Amino acid sequence: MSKQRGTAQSDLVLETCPHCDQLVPVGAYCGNCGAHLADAAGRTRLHAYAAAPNEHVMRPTVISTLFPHLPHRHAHVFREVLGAGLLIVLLLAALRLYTSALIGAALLLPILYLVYLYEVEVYETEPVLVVGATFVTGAALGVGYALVTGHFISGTIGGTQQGPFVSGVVLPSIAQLLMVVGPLLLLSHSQFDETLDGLTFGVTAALGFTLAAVLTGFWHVFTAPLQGTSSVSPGELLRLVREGILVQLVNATTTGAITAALWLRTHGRSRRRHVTEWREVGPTVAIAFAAQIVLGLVTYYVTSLLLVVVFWAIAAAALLVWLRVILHHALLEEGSQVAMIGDPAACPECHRLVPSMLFCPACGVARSAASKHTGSPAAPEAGEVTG
Amino acid sequence: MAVSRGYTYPVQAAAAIPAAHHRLSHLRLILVAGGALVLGIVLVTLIAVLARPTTPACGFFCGPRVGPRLLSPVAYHNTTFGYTVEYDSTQLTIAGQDDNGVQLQAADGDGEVIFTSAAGADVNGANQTALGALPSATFQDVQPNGPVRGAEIGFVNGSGTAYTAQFVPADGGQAVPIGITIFSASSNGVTITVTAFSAQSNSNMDAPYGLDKASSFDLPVSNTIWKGQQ
Repeated sequence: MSKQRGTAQSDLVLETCPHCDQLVPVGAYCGNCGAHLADAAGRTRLHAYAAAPNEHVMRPTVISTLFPHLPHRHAHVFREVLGAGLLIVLLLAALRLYTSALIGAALLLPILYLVYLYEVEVYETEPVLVVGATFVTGAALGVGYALVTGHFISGTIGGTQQGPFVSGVVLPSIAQLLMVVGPLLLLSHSQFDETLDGLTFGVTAALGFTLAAVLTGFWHVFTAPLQGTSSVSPGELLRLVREGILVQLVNATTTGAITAALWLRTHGRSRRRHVTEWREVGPTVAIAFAAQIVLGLVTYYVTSLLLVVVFWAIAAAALLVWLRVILHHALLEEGSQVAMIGDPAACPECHRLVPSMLFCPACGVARSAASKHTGSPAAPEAGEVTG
Repeated sequence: MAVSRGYTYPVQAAAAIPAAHHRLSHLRLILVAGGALVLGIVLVTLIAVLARPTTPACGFFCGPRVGPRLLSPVAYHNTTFGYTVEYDSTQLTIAGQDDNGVQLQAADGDGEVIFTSAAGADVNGANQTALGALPSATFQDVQPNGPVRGAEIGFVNGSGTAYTAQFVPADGGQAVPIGITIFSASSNGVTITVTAFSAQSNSNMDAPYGLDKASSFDLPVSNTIWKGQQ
């Protein structure tokens, strides 16, 4: 059923969304609930990830998952920088500069993420507060964690009967707890009330923590002669991949998932339409800690470094998909119950001139996933209804 | 993206869309991220190099290292495979030896560290052989306790497993809980296997893998000199 709406948007054609029963602008997607309008089973639209509708939700990609505010026209630059950075790391390793390669691997994602924070202005008007509470706090806790646990493990626990429990269960759990501390300082700020704020703060804190922990934990390697006398061994390369990249990805996804779920629950923006028990805060926290513990035990028990790295890579990919599922449904959840149609504005994702709503009627991107920097149109809040 | 049912929204030129204006252009983003990465690598490396512990210059007074490396040095030399095991005679004594290796017993009788060797590079097979060689009447209820982390014989990386077991003395005395480590390493076609066991200890600091005599046993394992090494 379609009908015309008059006044400010005289040529706006409306139809009733079969999923949320609201009168919304005609298009591929419902501007209110984000569902696919033409598809009766399109309520969850798994083929179109809410932050990047040109990607399937189940696709384990780093950029559109951890950097969701980037429009796809800009995301490829970050993807290329990430790829080039990895090539530089491998090149340094090939030149027997293992120390520099390890430092580069540890710095790559955190630097890219800080550039991302600046680019999309997630921190809005509080850059010092946000970066301080997340990245700096995470880094400080990471240094402390690496110093204490490094001494503790090498001094008393390694190779004892308590080793598996301490190394596999206690330490990963403590690390995960510490990574959440910084973002919790921002949880009560009403200025940062969106799920993607929580995700960004969690990822930033985790990357700061992991960077500091890796640099501190490997300090003895860094103070070795700069250039090795022989070529980098496969073991060193595998360690580089795990410590420099995979650990960062795993920590970022588990922490981001926890904080995203916390933010969605705490700020009461959920419309309770896509609620599933296993995506609530409790199960999300449990899955994140379980993942860390399983990976800790695998790292302790499996003696083949190659197998350990393969396991970590599979886990990182699975956790990325898990985080995307949480974010996708959280973005579909967020918003008010009543459809509000704002003035026409260009969608930052598809560049079509569409009525401002929670979702772009043309491409289906969630407006809350748009960049926050000045000039980006916001989805209409209550009281902004036109027409 | 096309809009369903024939209804389309007009596409705006990127220049006319405020949200399409990026704070960093593509080139600037690459320069900023790349520059920060290079700067970070150089800075951390520089700090690490400056913080590197220095060793005093050797100069005229440093001669070549000669003579034994221990205070109470005794060495077992295996002529078949050309390796040497240095050990502290105040803590260990030879309880037995043959063409393949040596059996060192703790001076107080609490445990042994046994070196066996074979041609080839089958480390896992050597570990299995050593485990199978433990007399089942003496070593009862043998349970694996995880891998031996940092398993190394004479600075050659290896692998192996730690176990717990009950040691029943040959004279039929009371069973004693013990810790066992079995690990092997291979170099230049020779595989050396170390089987070490002693009474269990809960002191984590002094007894990795629960071996009361771990620190005594560590010395000959670390001071094994492979054929061709100095």
